[in-house]
Amino acid sequence: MEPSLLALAMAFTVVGFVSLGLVTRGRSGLAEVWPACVWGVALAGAWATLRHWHPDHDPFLLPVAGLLTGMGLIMVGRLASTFLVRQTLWSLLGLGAMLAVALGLRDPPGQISGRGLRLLRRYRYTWLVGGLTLLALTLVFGVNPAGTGARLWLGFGGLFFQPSELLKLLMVVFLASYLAEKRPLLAHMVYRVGRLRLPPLPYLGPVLLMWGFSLLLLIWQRDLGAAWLFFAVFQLMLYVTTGQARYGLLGLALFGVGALIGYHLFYHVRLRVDIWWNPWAEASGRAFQIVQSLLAFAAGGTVGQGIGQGYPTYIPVVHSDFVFSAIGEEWGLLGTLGVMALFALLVTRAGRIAMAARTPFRQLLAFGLAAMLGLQTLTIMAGSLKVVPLTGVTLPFVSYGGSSLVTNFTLVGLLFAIQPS
Amino acid sequence: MQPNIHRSLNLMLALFLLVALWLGYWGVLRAPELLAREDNPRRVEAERRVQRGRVLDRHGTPLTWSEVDADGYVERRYAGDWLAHVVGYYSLRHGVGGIEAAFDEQLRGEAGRTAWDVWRAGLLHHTQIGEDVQLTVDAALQRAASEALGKQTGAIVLLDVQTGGVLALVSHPTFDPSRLDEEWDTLREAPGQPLFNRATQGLYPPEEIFNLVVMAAALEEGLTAPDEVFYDEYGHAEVDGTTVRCANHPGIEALDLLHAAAYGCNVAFARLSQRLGSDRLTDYAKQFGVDRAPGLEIPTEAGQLAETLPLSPEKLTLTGLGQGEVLVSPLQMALVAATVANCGRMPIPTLLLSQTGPARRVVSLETARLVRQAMTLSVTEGPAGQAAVSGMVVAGKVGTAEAGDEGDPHAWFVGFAPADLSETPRFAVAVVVERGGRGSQVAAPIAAQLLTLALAAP
Repeated sequence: MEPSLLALAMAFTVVGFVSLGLVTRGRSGLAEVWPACVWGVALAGAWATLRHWHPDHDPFLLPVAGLLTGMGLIMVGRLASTFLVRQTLWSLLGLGAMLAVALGLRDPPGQISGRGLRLLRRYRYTWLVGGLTLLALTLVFGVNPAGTGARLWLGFGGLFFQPSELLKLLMVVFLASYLAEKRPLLAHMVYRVGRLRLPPLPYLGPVLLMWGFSLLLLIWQRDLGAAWLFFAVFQLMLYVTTGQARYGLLGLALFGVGALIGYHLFYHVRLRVDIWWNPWAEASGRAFQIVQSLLAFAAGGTVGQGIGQGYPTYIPVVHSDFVFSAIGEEWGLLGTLGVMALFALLVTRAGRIAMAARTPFRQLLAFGLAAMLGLQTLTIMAGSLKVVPLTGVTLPFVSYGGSSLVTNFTLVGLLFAIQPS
Repeated sequence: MQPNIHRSLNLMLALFLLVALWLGYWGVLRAPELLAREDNPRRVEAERRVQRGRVLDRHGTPLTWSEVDADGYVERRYAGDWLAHVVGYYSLRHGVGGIEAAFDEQLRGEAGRTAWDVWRAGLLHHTQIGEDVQLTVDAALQRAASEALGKQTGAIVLLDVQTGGVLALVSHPTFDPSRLDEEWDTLREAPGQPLFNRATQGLYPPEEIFNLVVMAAALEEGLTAPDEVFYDEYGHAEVDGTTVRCANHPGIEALDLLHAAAYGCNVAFARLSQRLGSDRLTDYAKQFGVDRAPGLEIPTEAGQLAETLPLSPEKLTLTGLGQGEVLVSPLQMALVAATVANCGRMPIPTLLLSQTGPARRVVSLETARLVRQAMTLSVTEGPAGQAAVSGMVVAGKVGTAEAGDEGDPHAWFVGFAPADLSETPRFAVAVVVERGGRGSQVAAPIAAQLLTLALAAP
């Protein structure tokens, strides 16, 4: 089944580039379609490699991620064609990272628990500290490739990398390892103070630590999206570990307090909330972006305007944060619902891997990755539809952005590695 | 742990469903309202790609047309500033005016489209191409009229007597519709009000021009006859308590009706007005359409007879002399001239070449013939002499209307040609020059220039 799904993904990408070329330049030669060809060949190569070294891998993950990336390439070609070469290279790099992680960390055939994942589990503090160090470096040396805005990137000679993207994965690895180890304690011990039942205080530490860490991200980096994602993923993982919803409630309360503090202390938080609550009053001012995003969905209607035939470029930074709105305008409800179905499928497949995994660490790791992917997708989709305030996160695989692409393909690679071969 | 994972996954899928519902909400349910928003750039984008049809003159010469650039954006072009008050303007920022407004649907290609056509064209991104509109206007005459008026403030209307078709309609000062966006603020605040259409909406006291209406009314009612002689020894007389002065007194003591009308003898017309009385005078003025806005495709203004009716004896005298509170537009007076020319039937004015309407009988053939003779006399031996065209009989009437207390009066001329009783008149004209001076010296030559050109055309 996987080859035919992959063929569909490739066909979609090729057709997308052909129509884009015809619409925007009136022709569709190799000069217009080459990214689809490169991507098709790369996907085929990745599939062949996986089949040889890891024959039991999930057959949906690669085609779905491949299709979404193909769609992303089409959208980058449509919205910001100067970035197309770079995005294609990052896609290839992502595919390479996926293969390296999948094949490097997977169990050798016949073995129950391989060295690779044990490495991740054992040295969890190393990963955490490494990730935090990178983040600390951005606090000092951070830049923004666009010149202004949140300085979330580290630059090396023209290449920019966003450590908070990698940190997402490292954080999930750390939490999976920590929670898997402390699970028996967390799940069963309860402190009683009078009639109040409290979770075991020493192990509540990580909750507060995560809360503090998220706030730190919020304050120092103004990275609302990452702060929210770290915290939400942690809450879900904690719930999965303990099965106790009141941790979730406690977390929600803490989040509320944090949000309230953020709202009163920081202009950028207040701005996001205010324009979410009533964008119409400032439709041509501060709320321009979100109003234009909604207009794009409206213009797309059911079947869309067709690739290259709408006006999504009226939305500022449409190619990264608002690519979903651009899909809404040019592919309509059919396109956006299709994309949502693909992400739902990815999350479901990742969830299946989690449920089928043999050890608590693997279960938690796979689930954490599924939650990270699903929540990030939901956050940006809901943000561009004004369901929740906007936070600058990418739509995985589709948005323009190298760090995001490599991180999400690494995420898929980790899921492959968790599967027994 | 598996049940917890299962529950968490279900939570996420439920959230996906929620977002999907929101997609339908903005993308379908609220879409019409969102797309209609003023700040939707797609509206401007779509508008800039509409290839509006051309506006053509009666010979097919384009007066305005659309130019498409490489990106598919359309630029509206106009042949010049001399057609601004007929063709109007089209601007993304300031809307449409004139014919551009009157036939907007047709020019945009939206006339008679079904919902299915609209949906299909939208889906397939068909370029919206409009239909052409052909006017009765003659580009050469329109341009000549504008040039004849030159820098003077005023208006000219040239009508086809038989069909009521507008051959030229000029209002000065004018503007260049191609440069409307750049000049809008200046145009809005300019003291001469260049955006105001004086030809159809400008109202002026008619003075002696109104003699035509009073003479026709008195003849119709049998209150005078061509051989009636009016005595005006001193150039002024007491008529029902009002002293009436003759501005154009030719120095002749006795004038018959035709000469009195040709010279615009106020004493004679004050007496005729008194004979008619308030009811009959206003009734005939209404018959000539003074109180109604002429039904043209572009906006017109109704004239005014008096603020209160019936008229007191003093007001009656003033009204009969075209003073008092009487106000008329150049288009209305061109129609009065056309009525006289057209044997007493008033044509329905139009700018659309395909439009023809029945003329309306206002006065009898005999009355029209006598008024015509008086107008011919006015040109051959009276004050409208400068309207004469060589080799052709022209009928005309000049007027000089006091414009407030200071400054020069407004100069009027109305007339038609050819006016020889053996010929069928073809062109009726009205000229107003604001604060231009005497009608006989300022307005009549302009009319002569225009009639010469019109009559010379094959």
